[in-house]
Amino acid sequence: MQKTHLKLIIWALLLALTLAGAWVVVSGSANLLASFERGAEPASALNIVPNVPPDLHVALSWAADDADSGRQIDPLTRSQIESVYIRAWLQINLSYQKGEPHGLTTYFTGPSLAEVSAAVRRTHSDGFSIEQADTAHHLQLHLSSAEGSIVAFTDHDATVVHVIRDAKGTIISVEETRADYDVVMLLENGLWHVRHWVRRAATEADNRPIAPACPGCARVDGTGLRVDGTPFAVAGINYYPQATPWDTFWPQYDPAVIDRDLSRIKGLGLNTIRIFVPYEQFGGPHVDPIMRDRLSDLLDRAEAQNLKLIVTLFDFRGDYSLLHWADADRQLETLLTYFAGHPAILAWDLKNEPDLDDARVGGQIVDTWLRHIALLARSYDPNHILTIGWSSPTAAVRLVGQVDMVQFHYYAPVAELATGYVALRHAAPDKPLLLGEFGLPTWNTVFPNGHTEAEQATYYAALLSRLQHLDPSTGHLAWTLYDFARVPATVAGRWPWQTGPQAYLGIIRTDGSEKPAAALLAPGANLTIAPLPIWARLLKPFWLLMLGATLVEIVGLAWAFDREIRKRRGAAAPMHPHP
Amino acid sequence: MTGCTRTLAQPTPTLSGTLNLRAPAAIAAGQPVTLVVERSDAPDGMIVTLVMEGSYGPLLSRAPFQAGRAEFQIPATDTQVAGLVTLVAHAAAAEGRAELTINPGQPVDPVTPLVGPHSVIADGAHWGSVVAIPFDSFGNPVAEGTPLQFRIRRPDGSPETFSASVTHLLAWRRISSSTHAGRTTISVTAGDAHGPDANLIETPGWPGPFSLNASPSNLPADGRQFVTLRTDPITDVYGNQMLDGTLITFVAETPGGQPRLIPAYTIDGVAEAQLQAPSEPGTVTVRATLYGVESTALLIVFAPGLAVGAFPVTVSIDHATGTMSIVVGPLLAALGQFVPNGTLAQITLIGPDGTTYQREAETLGGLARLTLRRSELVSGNYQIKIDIGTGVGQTNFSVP
Repeated sequence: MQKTHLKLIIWALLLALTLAGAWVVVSGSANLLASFERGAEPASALNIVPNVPPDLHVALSWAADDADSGRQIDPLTRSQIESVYIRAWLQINLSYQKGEPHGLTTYFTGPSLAEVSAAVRRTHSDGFSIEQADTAHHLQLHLSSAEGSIVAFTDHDATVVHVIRDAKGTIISVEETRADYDVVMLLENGLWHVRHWVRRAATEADNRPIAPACPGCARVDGTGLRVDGTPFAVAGINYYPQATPWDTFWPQYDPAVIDRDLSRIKGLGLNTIRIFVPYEQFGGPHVDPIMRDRLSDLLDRAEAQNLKLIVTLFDFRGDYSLLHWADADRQLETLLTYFAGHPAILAWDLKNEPDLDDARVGGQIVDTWLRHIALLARSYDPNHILTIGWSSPTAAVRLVGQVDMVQFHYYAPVAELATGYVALRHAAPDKPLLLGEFGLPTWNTVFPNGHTEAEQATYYAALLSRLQHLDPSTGHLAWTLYDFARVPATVAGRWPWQTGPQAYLGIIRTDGSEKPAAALLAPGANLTIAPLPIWARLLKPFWLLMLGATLVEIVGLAWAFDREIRKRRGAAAPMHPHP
Repeated sequence: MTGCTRTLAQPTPTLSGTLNLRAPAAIAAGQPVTLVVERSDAPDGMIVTLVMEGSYGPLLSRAPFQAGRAEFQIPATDTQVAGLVTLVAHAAAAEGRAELTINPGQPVDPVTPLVGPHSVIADGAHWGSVVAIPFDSFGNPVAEGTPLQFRIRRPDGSPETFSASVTHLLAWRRISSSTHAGRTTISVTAGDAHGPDANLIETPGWPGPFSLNASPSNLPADGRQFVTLRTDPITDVYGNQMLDGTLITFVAETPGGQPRLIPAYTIDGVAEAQLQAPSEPGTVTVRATLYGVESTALLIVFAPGLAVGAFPVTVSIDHATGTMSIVVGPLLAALGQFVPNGTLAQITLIGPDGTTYQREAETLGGLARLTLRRSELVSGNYQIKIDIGTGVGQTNFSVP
């Protein structure tokens, strides 16, 4: 009986295996056949070339055509001209990058082809290299000939940036130039070609968008600010939600958390928060409407609580390569034109601590990019204040002329503040100054440089007192509202001594309770704090560990010394003869 | 706060601030120029780099300071491209700026008029344009405001002259058509510079009303002969004949029939086409169209053209061969002549039980013959009817 059962089981297993094998063979054959049947997408056979390369985000707009521009130009022809013109510039840029004329014959003809090719060759043969990019074109049509094979237009205020390096790679020049270009294009062999272009002094095209009015926006008044005509002293905090800081803030945006946090900030007596817009998370050149709406929601909620925001743009964007400048321009354009009328925005902070990119990119390039962005920002949004979040007062001297409010960050000893501040005030005598970040971490572990919450409060009180003494109109924002349980490695690194201080810079602990420093930030807060006794500075895990280690070492040394003495004494004692 | 990054030590510049860059405001294309950079406290030997951003990109030169002065001798070969040149001099951290405009030279041969389109309608309303892009000896478009003279000879020989100034690198004018079709010749001069001419063909405009005629107009409906259809000379409203080779479509419609489209081309304003006479008498309506303009209708009456009157029908049975012959004729046309060979006679047999049989027979020598097998027919009395044109013949016979 058992044998019969065993046979049945074996047969059942064999049957199941056979069925499974058959299924695998049939489905595999079917998939193979289906794969052969599928073939390419029919549309791919058409090889439709996009008007401009999809990753090229150079701005191109048309002003009104001349009153008499000959033949009425049709939209298709206009788009073809746009395409060729913008690709012609790109091809020049690529040719400079390659150091030889590359693909220019597709877009240039006659004298312009000869001249542009010669210019590229000359630069290379002279031992220089040029990186060049165009970022904006504003075209105005003057003529479309009756048969539609000649067009003449002016490219107003064309923006071209270049970096020139010598044979060793040393930067010689970083320039952004603006000029008009009178251009004649001919239709040859069915394709438009640039036949002539002549550079002229820049004139502005009359097609700039008009920003909406913003009567509630903050205004600069001498070295101070005004909101609705009333002096406004910035007293605020840099902000991330506690559970979702840095790279998790916007993807996990929670309006309820925002409301709760804004109420708490308001409860601390603060009037401003500084937030960050990560460039990539917001979609790069194509701003993600979901992220834009989240920013809009945050602004609306802040407005409802009568809080102002400093919105820091291009966070974690470290790419300064010229060909990608236009990408950043598009994000700037989208955000600033969208929020130009929002009264909750105190200022656009164009970049956080850009001077830290100097070593990697070169200060000239960083400065030129910031000038470029500042100029664009003013055209997209003339209502709001512009600032740049420099990492120190020394760095903030740069580009004072480009911003409305000079912002610096400060994490150094209080005693050193005055020197940098006075120099900065000297460089910007008539502009508001803002301490955009300051702080002292309360990460107090066995690693060195730990601080207690009392030390943090002492530092805040001393710094703010010093600042008030130097210039009572200077606003301040502490870093940051919360301590965080997690700090992304992209912020400060991955080692504990790197992430630890970043995680404990808040004025509210991870359990939600306030540190002593939280009471010091509101306008008019009492900054008088009893000085810490010296022993209090030593009662830290690191020093206690050091003390313990020292004691252990001393005891160990004493023991070893004693042992050695005993050993020597034993060796020196006279040998007693055995009885 | 994004953490701290080590900042590389920047080389301490030995010079900062502003350099005095002296340059003329403007020079002529191809003219050498000396640019001077000055800074009294500049150390001797310090290199000044001069970037000259012109129409087609930057050009770089280097020169050392000597006694607070660095001189750049820019050769004529580097100033041939016209346009605004932004000059930026760099020495350590010091910088100086100036602008230099390179003006194009005088226009040189050839000054080519670019005319388009190649032809316009000579109706006084349509227009073409003539564009000229005069350039100097280095290929630069000449200066803004340079006057150009355009000279035109119209198809009727009348001359016209007008001037235009160079604006945005070129000069252009509209050329309105005249009302005379033909060739308009255009030339342009800029100062002493000349060039080839260009032509604008002024073509006749939309045709005016026109009519048709037919020759001969009284053909019989014999399905064989042709009528020549011809338009009157077709002109536009200004009397310009249509260009030779203009396509015209004649449309002939018979009552109840499909319209026939006959293409033709004009020669000296006239188009001709051949219309074959229908087999059936009646009226054919003919129109001609070109460019959507339709002629007046021409009615052509085709009189009965085949056999007329009654004609004899003979039926004979050959018992030996078992065949039956039907001979119709002689079939005569209107003038008493035989109908053309090959004319089809429609023969209808109505059998004793009312069954109808249709047959056709071609005529030859005025007679139409039809042979039937006796075995195909049932016994009884038959009626036979023959129709050719308007002629009719009929008879009865019996099949035993």
